[in-house]
Amino acid sequence: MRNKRGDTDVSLLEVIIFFVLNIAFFAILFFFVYNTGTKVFVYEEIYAKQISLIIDNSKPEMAVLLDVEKAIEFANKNNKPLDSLFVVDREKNVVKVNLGTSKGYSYGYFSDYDVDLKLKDRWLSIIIKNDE
Amino acid sequence: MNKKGESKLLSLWWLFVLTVVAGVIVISTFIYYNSEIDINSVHSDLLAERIVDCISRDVYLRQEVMNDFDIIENCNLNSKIIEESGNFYFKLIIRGDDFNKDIIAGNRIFEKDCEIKEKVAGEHFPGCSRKSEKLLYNGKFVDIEILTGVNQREK
Repeated sequence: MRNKRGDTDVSLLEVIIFFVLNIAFFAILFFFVYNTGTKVFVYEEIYAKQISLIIDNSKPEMAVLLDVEKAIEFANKNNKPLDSLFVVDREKNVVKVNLGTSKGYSYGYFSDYDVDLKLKDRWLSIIIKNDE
Repeated sequence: MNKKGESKLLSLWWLFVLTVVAGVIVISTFIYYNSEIDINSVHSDLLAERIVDCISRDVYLRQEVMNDFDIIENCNLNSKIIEESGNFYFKLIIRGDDFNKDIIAGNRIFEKDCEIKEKVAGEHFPGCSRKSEKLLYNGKFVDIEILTGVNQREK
């Protein structure tokens, strides 16, 4: 005869610890994923490409306002002066965004416009001047 | 024979599974956020629209396009970026009843790359855009076809 005996009694304490540990584990993972998505390098890339597309989609004597509140937040956190966050290099035709990382993010545009960037409060004015 | 089984919630196996799940999520997150946001197709569309906008006036083809027309200067494109950077390309074809005009600039390799991309999905190919229009020139319709390619990565 084969006597089989299984013990399936699990104590309440074990169940509680199990759930608490699972919740803590997933909470930490969620926090990690959320935190990674709000990293400064992601926003540098987003803003550089947005500004480049705006310039190439514009015509002379146009001005576009871009909400850069997140950029200001990062700059204040990293003690970065606000006038150096967004720079246009006319010689190389690139937009460079640096919100506090060592090298920032640069992206080119194909237009031959004279572009001016002015930051006021949370708004960045992208001014396309008349043809040179 | 006598066998005794036990069920445990907190076990090494459970820990192992959690570690694997955590590892997969962490690696996926890094891969996702470290990959570049690809806007080459959008940029390519913008280039095509700029050129079409530039050579047309309402439904008419600008007369000067058929003469000595510097498309890069007249369409407010930066010649150094278009011709020398290797990241941009466009080919404009104007076809009438008795004439055919091609204007090409930029990285010519993109033409083949764009043809391949239409058939096969691939990484690091340029973002391409193909547009066709009919415009009036000297009272007759002409076919305008423009192919653009942009393959820009971070500088």
